[in-house]
Amino acid sequence: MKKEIDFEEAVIPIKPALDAFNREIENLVTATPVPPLSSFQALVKQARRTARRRLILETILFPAVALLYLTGMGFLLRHGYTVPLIIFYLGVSFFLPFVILFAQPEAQRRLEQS
Amino acid sequence: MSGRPSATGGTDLAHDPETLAALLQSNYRQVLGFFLKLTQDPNLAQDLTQETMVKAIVHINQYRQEASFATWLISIGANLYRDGWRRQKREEKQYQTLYTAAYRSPPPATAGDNTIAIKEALRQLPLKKRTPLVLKYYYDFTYQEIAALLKIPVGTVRSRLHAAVRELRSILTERKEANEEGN
Repeated sequence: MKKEIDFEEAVIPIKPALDAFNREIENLVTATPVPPLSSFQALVKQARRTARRRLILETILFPAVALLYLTGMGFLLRHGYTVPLIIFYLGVSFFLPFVILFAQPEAQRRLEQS
Repeated sequence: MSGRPSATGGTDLAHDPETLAALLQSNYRQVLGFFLKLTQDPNLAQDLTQETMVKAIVHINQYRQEASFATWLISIGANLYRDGWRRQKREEKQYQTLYTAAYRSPPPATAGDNTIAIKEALRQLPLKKRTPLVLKYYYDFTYQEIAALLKIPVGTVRSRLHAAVRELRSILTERKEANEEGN
């Protein structure tokens, strides 16, 4: 099946069955009522509003989290937790590459299995 | 085969919600049909169609009008279904139950034998083989397009299509032989 034409040839024996399935689905789709235009307009409005809200929230959240993080770091450093902080970050820098390396193939494997 | 759906005009959909809503409405059945072919579950297909529409609205800026709007929607839908693999896995289990139930009960009188067999065969196909087959056979996507869409190499698309067709043929042949023996 190296060229697309090979697919067309390979599928010939099951073509009647696939086409019959297609006709059945098309009949089902034709029988399904399409929602009115107003519901699509409402969907567009709603989806845009939600997306805008999320964007605003993310815009506010990012500097807030960054500020909180820096404040926390400053607090810890000022109160003499320099060594524990160094140990923590050394641990993170050591283990993070392994997490990145092994978590991704695992997710991919699960996806492949599905 | 359904073939490629019709293309849109040259309007800027991001700034025209009315046209966008009309376009979504006119392509509703195309997307629903795609999900019905993929899932064979009307309720799930409708939910996924709705999700696809929402995703399309949010990402409308990414629509380049190189492909038809329906093709773009189907691409979003295929990705959505692929990404929701956990839900899909749950559904697969449910389908398996449904399949077992359907296998035990006599087939409905209205459906042709061909259709019943292919539906069962498609349900048995894993998603990774079923999706390329549906995209290729019913929507005429090229190998390259399927590869880009599913984020897999072109060679993998070829081998999955080959395996899908081989499995379908084998299941249909088995069923045909079983029917002949039964008669």
